[in-house]
Amino acid sequence: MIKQILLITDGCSNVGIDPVVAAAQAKEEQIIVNVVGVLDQGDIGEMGAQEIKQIAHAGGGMSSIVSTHQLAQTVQMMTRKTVMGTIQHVVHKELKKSFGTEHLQQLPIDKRAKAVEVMENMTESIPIQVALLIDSSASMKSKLPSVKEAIADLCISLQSRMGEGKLCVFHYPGLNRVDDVKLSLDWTDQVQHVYPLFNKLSMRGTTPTGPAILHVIDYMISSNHITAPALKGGQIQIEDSIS
Amino acid sequence: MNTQSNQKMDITIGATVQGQWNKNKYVLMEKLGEGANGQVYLVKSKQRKLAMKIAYDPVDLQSEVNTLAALQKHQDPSYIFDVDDFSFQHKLYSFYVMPYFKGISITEYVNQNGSSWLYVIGAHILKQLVSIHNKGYVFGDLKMSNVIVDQHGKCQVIDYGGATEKGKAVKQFTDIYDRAYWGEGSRVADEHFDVFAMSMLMIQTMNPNGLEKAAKMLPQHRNIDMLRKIVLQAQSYDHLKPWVIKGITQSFTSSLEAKQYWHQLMKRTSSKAPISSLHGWWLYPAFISAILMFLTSVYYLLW
Repeated sequence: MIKQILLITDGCSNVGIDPVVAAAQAKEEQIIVNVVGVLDQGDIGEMGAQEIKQIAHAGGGMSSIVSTHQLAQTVQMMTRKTVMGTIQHVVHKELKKSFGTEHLQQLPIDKRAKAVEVMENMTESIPIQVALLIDSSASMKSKLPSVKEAIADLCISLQSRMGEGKLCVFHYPGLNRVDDVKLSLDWTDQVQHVYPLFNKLSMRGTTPTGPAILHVIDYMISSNHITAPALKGGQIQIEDSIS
Repeated sequence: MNTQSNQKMDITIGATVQGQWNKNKYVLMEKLGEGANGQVYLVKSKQRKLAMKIAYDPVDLQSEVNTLAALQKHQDPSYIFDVDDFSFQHKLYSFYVMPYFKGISITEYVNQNGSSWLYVIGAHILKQLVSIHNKGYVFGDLKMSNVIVDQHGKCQVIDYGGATEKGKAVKQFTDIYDRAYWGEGSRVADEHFDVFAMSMLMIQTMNPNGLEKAAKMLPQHRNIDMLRKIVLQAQSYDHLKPWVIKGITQSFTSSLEAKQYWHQLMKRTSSKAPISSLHGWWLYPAFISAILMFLTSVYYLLW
C-alpha cells in the first residue's frame, strides 16, 4: 500500500505547529508528503517557496511550484513518481539480494527486462491512497476550479489502474475557529464525487498547514484499520520473481 | 526520493558514444527531439543512418524496450537494433537504437500535397493501430508529433513510450487526444482509446482553430457535443465526418471495424484521391523506419 498526502497551497502557514515537523511525522508513519505550490498571477514569496521545499523534504516527497494550468499534470506526475519511487526502492532491495547490486545499469541488458517487468506490474497493481490537502485560505479562491480539475483527473487515472486507488480531500482552515481542517470528500474512486467539491466553501484567512497535516495523518492511519482486509489482496510477492 | 530534478544532458553534435556492453559506436549527427524523459538523436553507425533514443531513467527505457520486444516478436526486420548504456560526464545513460524515418507532420504534408492525402495517411495509421491491437497492446500517445509522413504519403507512428498492454492504465498520453480529458471515459488501455485519439488527430487537421478554442474551455464545458460541433463546422473533409463522429462517440466495435469503415469512405472519395500513387503506396511492402520526436507530451503516466 502506498500512502501519500498531496498538499496544494499558495503561501506560508501562519498558525499552529510547524508543517515541516508535521511532515516529518507523516514520514515516520510511512506516509509520503508531496507539495504543490500553485499561483496564477503574482508570486508565492520567498518564505512560501522555502516552506514548500522543506515540507516535501521532511515528508520524503517532492515539491514543485506551478501555475494553475499545470496543476493537473503536476499532481499526476508526482503521484506517478511517488509510486515508481516506492516500487523501485523495494525492487532494488530484491536486486541486491539476487545479483549483489541495486543499480539496474549494473545488470546485464537481458536481466533488466525481467526486473522492469516486475516493477511495472507492481506499479500497476499496488493499492494507492492519496489524501489531498487543499489550502482554502482567501487567496486560493480563484485557483479552486483548477484544483478540482486536477483532483478529478487524478481520480480518473487512479481508477484506470488495475490496483485499488482511492483519494480523499481535506481543506483547511475549517468553517469555524476551532476547526483547523475539514474533510470535504471521504475515500472514493468515483470521479462524479469530485465534481460537487468546494461549491459552498467559505474562505478564511488563516493557514494552519501543520495542524492540518497532523489531522490527515491520523485520518489515514485510522481509516487503514478499517480498509486493511479489503486491500490485502493487492499486496505483491516479489521474492524470486526477479531472478 | 528527491525533489523534482531536471537532469540535463548536453552532448555535443559530432561526438561519438560507445555502448559499454555491446561496444557499438555511434556518431551523433543531429538532435531530433527532446522531452521530459529523454532525447532522440539521428546517429551514424557503419555508414548507416539510425535513430537513438536516450533516456534519463533506465527504467523508462527498459519499459519501452520491453513493449517493443513484445510487439516485434514475430516481425522482421526488427525495430530495435541495439540496447546499451554509455557513460557521459560520469553518468550512465541507457539508450536503444532504431530505424531512422525521415518525414514531416500530417498537417504539413496535407498542406503541401492536398487534402485528399489525409485518407491515405489515415488508412496507414489505422493499419498500424490494428496491428498493435492484435498483439494485445494499445499505442496510447497517438498525436500530431508522433506521426511522421514521408514524401510518398507513407506514414509511421513513432514513440512507443505510451504503448500499454490492454487492460492496464495508459502509460503516457497527451491531453487533447485523451478521451478522459473530454469526459468520455477512463484511461484503461483499450482499442477505443487509440481510435478516439486518431479521431482527435483528424479533427485537428480538419478544424484546428475550433479544436484549439475548445481545448481551453473549463472541464465542465468540454464534452462530446462540443467536439461534434467542431467536426460539423469543418470547411472540408465532409466524407470523413461520419467516421470522426463514430470515433469520438466510441461507436466502432473495434479498431478493425474503424479501419474497414475508413476504407469504405476512401472508396466513395476515390474520384478525388490521388489514385496512382495510392495504388503504389498500397502495395508497397511496409519496410518501416522511424524518427522519434520526443514528447512535448503534456501528460505522461506510467502507472
